Amino acid sequence: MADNQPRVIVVGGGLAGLAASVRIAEAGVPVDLFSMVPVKRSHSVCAQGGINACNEVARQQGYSEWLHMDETLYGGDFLNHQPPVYEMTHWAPKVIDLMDRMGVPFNRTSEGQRDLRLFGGSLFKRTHFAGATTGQQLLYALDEQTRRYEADGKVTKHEFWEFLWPVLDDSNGKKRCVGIVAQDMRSMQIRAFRADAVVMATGGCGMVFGKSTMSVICTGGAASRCYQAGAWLGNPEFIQVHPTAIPGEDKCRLMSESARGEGGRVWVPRKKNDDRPPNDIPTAERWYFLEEKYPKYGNLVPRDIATREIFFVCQQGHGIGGGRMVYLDVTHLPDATKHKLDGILEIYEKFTGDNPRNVPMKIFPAVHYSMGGLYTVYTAKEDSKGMVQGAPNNMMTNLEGLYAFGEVNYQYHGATRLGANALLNCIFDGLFCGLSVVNYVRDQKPGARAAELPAQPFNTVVQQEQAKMKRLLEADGQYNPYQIHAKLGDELTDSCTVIREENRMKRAYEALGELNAQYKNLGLSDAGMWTNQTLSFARALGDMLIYAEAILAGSIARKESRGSHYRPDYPERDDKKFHKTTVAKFDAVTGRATLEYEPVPTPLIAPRARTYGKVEAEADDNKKDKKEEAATS
Amino acid sequence: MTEHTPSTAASSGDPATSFLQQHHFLFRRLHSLSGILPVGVFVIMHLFTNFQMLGGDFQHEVDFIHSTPALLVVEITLWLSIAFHAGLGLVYTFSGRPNVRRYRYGGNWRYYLQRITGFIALGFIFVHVATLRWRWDLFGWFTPFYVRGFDGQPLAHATTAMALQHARWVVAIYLIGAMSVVYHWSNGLWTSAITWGVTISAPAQRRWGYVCAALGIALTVFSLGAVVGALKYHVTDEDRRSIRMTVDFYESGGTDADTKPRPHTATHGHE
Amino acid sequence: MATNTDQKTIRFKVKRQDAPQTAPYWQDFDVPHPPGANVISCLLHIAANPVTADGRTVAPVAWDCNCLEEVCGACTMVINGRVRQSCSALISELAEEAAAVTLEPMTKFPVVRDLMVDRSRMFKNLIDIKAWVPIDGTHALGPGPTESPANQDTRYALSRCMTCGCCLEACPQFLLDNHFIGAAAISQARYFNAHETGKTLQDDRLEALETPGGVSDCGNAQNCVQVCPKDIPLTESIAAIGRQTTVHAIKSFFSGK
Repeated sequence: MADNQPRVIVVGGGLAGLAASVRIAEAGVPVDLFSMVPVKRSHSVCAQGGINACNEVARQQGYSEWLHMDETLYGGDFLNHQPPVYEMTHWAPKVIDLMDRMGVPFNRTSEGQRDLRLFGGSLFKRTHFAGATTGQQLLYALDEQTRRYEADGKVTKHEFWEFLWPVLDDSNGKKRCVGIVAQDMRSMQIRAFRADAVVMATGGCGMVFGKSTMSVICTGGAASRCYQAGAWLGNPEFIQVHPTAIPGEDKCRLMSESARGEGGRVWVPRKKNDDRPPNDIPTAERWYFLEEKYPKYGNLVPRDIATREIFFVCQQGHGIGGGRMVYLDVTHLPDATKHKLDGILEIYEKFTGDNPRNVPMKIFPAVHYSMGGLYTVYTAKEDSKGMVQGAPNNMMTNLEGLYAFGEVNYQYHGATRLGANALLNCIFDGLFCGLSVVNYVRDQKPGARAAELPAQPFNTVVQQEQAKMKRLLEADGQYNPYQIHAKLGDELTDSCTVIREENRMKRAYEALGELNAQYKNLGLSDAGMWTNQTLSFARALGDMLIYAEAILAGSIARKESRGSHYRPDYPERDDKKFHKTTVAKFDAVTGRATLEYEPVPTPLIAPRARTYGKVEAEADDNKKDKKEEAATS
Repeated sequence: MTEHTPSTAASSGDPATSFLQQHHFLFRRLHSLSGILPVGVFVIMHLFTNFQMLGGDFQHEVDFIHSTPALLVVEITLWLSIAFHAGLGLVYTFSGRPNVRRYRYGGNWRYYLQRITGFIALGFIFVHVATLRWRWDLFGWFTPFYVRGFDGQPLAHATTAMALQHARWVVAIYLIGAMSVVYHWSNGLWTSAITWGVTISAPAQRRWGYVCAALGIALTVFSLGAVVGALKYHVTDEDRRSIRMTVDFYESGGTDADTKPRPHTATHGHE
Repeated sequence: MATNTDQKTIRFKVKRQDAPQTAPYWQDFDVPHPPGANVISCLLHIAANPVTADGRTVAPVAWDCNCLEEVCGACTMVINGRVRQSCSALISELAEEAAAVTLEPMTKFPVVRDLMVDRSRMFKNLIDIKAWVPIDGTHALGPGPTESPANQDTRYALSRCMTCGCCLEACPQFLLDNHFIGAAAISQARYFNAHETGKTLQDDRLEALETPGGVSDCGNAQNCVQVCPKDIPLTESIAAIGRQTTVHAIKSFFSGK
């Protein structure tokens, strides 16, 4: 029967979800694609700067896929698994070629080749870009290809449907994901969808921090629901704070790293509380602190480092007018270069009223990306150089048949993600691991297919979700979900972003307990059964609280500093104790994370000190490096 | 069930689509073409001829036009073009809903005016032709036009002058009507360059806009000149007598064949 | 009139509708607005405190939004009578225009609830014009065609269309109950026809655009280009497709099947 043929569900229509849909549909397996928004409006559109890949120009200057891998591991403070990073960086040129064939309007050189720009964490130009809206262009290209399969009937889109819970079948004694339960966000209908594999491509969890650079749907709700259903989280505490964003009332708007990649400079007045307009401050009285401290990488140190430096400079009172802002200056760039940045300069102009072409931008760090996410596994090649292509378990979570692609996948970036590696990671996951999904569902024996299972496991989850909805709709407590969310955001942003002080985090952890209590005493201002956005938000809030607990617990427990995780009480990296993946398992009884640690193998590159040539640290590092070299040789 | 997906016509495979819809693109383009070419060329010639009332040899021009060998064919072509252009224009006009109150952009006003002037022009042309050419008596507005009287007397200027001097509101109607025609044509010429894809870039559209505006201004000058020329003409008693006799002549069953030969055709170059 | 009793409060007049079939009604809200506030942050305030100006607690206003930085295209609505993205509508600027901020859903799409409308017609239009490059699958087959920087620049401007619907809302030819395809999709057809591989489907696209509701239904009011938040040269696209369809029609008249 045709109905028994394997099907795949993809949750999330960003780069990873669309790349997976296209790849899986292309292999002949029908795809049901779920998204809370029309997929073309997914958060991937917000990515600006570009996508990294080794290219011929860089190669002839000494760059290679291997170096790209090395940079990614160095940037990630060696917390990333090496075979997947190897595979991703070696696939990167193919990914660019493919996106190029799809018609992405990459910027061009006079000869018509793809243009390149410099980006953080690298000394080579290896970032391909389309103006300053690369994510938008890449997403649209995949959206178009998905539409092509949609027109052919191979992809069925379920837009304005919210993923509520994975359906797990344990009739064979082993938990296996066989579908999802989702809700139509308009009619509020809750129903189950069967599938032989489910790919979660649901992005990050920025909303947990209240205001971030992320879109409003990036609550981490979907990941949290999988986590509560038994999937593990990997490294939930690793959250990237982007150095340059425009602080706003409703969100912090990203000012791409490409501004610095194209030559933009970060500075503050040397004199504290200098209240002169920026253009009146002569160069000699400007402190280009990143260039001064990191002569090698300058403004293009990895994000966590730039963020901390900006934060410290402001703490020392050097921020603009003594406040929490620094200048990001592109005014000196030639017009042709500014033209390449139009996409972001327009955003700045629209939202602040100042023209950044003439006046330096005022920026401050903001939560941007979650390196952590659903824990996944893979099959490494024997020599650890890459993953086995098509291995059914590549990027599968600990729950069989449940995959995690893109930002929700904890792989690839370790303790900090390098700029322009996210787009790569998303598309790579979809393309490379999409094949794994195809192989996995094809391996399912007839008779064990999702379509052939009894209704019971599906009905159980539908009932569970209906009961949850009923509880929320009928709640008549005194707390408003939006207000709880604001407090959650404040607590997490204050305790668990740039500087993570143990006492502050513990206070936040306690506050979380209070917020959980308030959540149990919720009152919804909308009890309707048509397009009830409050219900959706309130439900996600519960999931955010649970995810936030894992972030805080992981941050408190990791007593070291590594990448984006900076603990003033433990300022050094501690490889002995913490060169390990945090694995968070949800304890349904306590509602809390149980943390376990899993060593990170380093088959290809041995960890080394991560200094990026900082001047004051240089002397020590040289010694350390030499020691390490001696030890490894 | 909540999905509202009005199918775009681009994909509708409704077998009952009308002839008009099946050849939609062709009709749209013919609509554009019929407005610019036959109607447009005629309008230019007509206004230029009328402009001769201001100091030129209007009678000579009119005689020349009326000596065109297949005048009837030309006239029928013109009528068909106007009918085609107007008929489709009406259908197309009602496919849109102007929103100038919300979006007060120049282009939007031009779009709105194009439709308004289309209606006015259609009404005006009808009245203009009915009273002058067909010599209808519209509610006492009886101002027939004759190129020459039954006796060969030149009457083109005199009858036109009589028509315009009939009443002030006739002048108003002629001014509004002629302006509408001129606007409709010159703006249509501008948009047709976009429709056909002649002007693509915004600067090209702007440049062509200047050309069309200049043409429009020239035609406006012609029409104003014609009106002034008609108003300035002093209708003599002889003119009145000749016109009355000519009216009587035709009303009593006379035909063009019975009139005297037109001097223009007989003796070319009478200067 | 704006209430001046509270400092920095602005009156929001919101056109609401509970469901597609129910009648719309208006509600007023007084919203405090700190510097830098925009329509979205005010709507978020209403969501957290859904109390009308006359003190009634009501259901929060439903609206569409996502990225809040004007790249996703979700939050289009009619603000003070003009269609635009609500995320980039700063209160400080709106306050200069009028004493109150009026929010209405778009009128050219069916209302789902309050300020939310159903724009699926726009996405369907993209299928009709085959808005994609027909690649031979996702396997590694080398790079795409090279492209001149000038062509890239043209295409890039077109590729920024976020399907927000502003151009259609402002278009006098695009109506809730007609079939006009509108500027967005016409411009996308131009975008794909300008790509070396995308060109392969050019005839299909042009044929789709020659049917009723296609490019020739444009009335050249040119509102689209005025309201486009991404400054996409939509009228140039319409002209370019005009030329392509002209040439295509003539070609197929003389050498078509």
